[in-house]
Amino acid sequence: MSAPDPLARHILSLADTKRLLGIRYSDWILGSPSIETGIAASSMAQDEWGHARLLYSMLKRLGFDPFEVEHERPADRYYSAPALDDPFEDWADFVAATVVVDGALAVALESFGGGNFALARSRVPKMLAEEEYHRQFGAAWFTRLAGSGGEGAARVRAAALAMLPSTLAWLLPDDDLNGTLVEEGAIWAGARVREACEARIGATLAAAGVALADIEPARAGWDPERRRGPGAPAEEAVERARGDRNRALFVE
Amino acid sequence: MSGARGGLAESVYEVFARKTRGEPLRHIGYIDAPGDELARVYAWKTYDEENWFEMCVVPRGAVMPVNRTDGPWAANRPGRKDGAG
Repeated sequence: MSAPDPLARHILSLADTKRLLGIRYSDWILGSPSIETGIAASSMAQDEWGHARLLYSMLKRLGFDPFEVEHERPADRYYSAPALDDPFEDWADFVAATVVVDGALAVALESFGGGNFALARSRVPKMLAEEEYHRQFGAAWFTRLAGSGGEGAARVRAAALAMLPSTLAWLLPDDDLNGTLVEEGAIWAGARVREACEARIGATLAAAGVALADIEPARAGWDPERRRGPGAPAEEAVERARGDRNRALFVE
Repeated sequence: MSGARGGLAESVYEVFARKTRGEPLRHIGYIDAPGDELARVYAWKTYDEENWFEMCVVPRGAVMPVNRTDGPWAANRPGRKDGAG
């Protein structure tokens, strides 16, 4: 696949992050704290995969082969947020990701849907409506764990702090390609995105004593082509994302 | 009313929904949740097979029996020694 233009890079970054987030959510359909929580994890995984497909399909309009994009890239060609590279270690990781990563994704979608790219303007509102339940889920669980004291509170705080720097760098790219999209009106400027991020997850994070305004994006090792920091998603997740075991059954 | 709605212990919430504005709300099931916020999310995510016009959740303990105290609902009220709550 050739190096994408700024808009294609942006769409691929959103789509890959949603696909990986769906995989990480799906790991907890069984083994989450209750049956209802597992059902919610399943539903949120399906939401993320559905959103990813809608986003990948936008690339078709930009001249990309969606089959190649979805099913043939190696791990080091994925543009997903680094916080999703490895499986969640525990439930605190899951909860922190629903706030930090899912929250950042929702803000990125707000920005994209509020820009002038017609497909985003028409498709993003439904995604954001579904994301509202993810926000409520994340806020409720995070607040409860943070307020429970002891190990649960310490773990969810540590998990959020571990995910925030790389996720903020992913949400707020400080490079020319992103600047081009802002100038063209396809997405919001960084200051507005950061403001929206504070509005969406700032109060939730504060429940664990995390001040979002004090967190600096981790920009070291930034890869402008993949619109992310160093590293790549684990191979097992990429094999699932590509559908390697189902290749004989693919129907497009 | 549940006494555990601020902690991690779970309470039962009854789920009601209607498919159209003019249809009566009907009881479609129940979920366990540790609080009102998660009860709303769990209900929507658990019973999302239909395109609901409106869905509501009610803590089981908030539903008061009217005409009898020995009916199935009354028997399952939280706090009853012989009920599941």
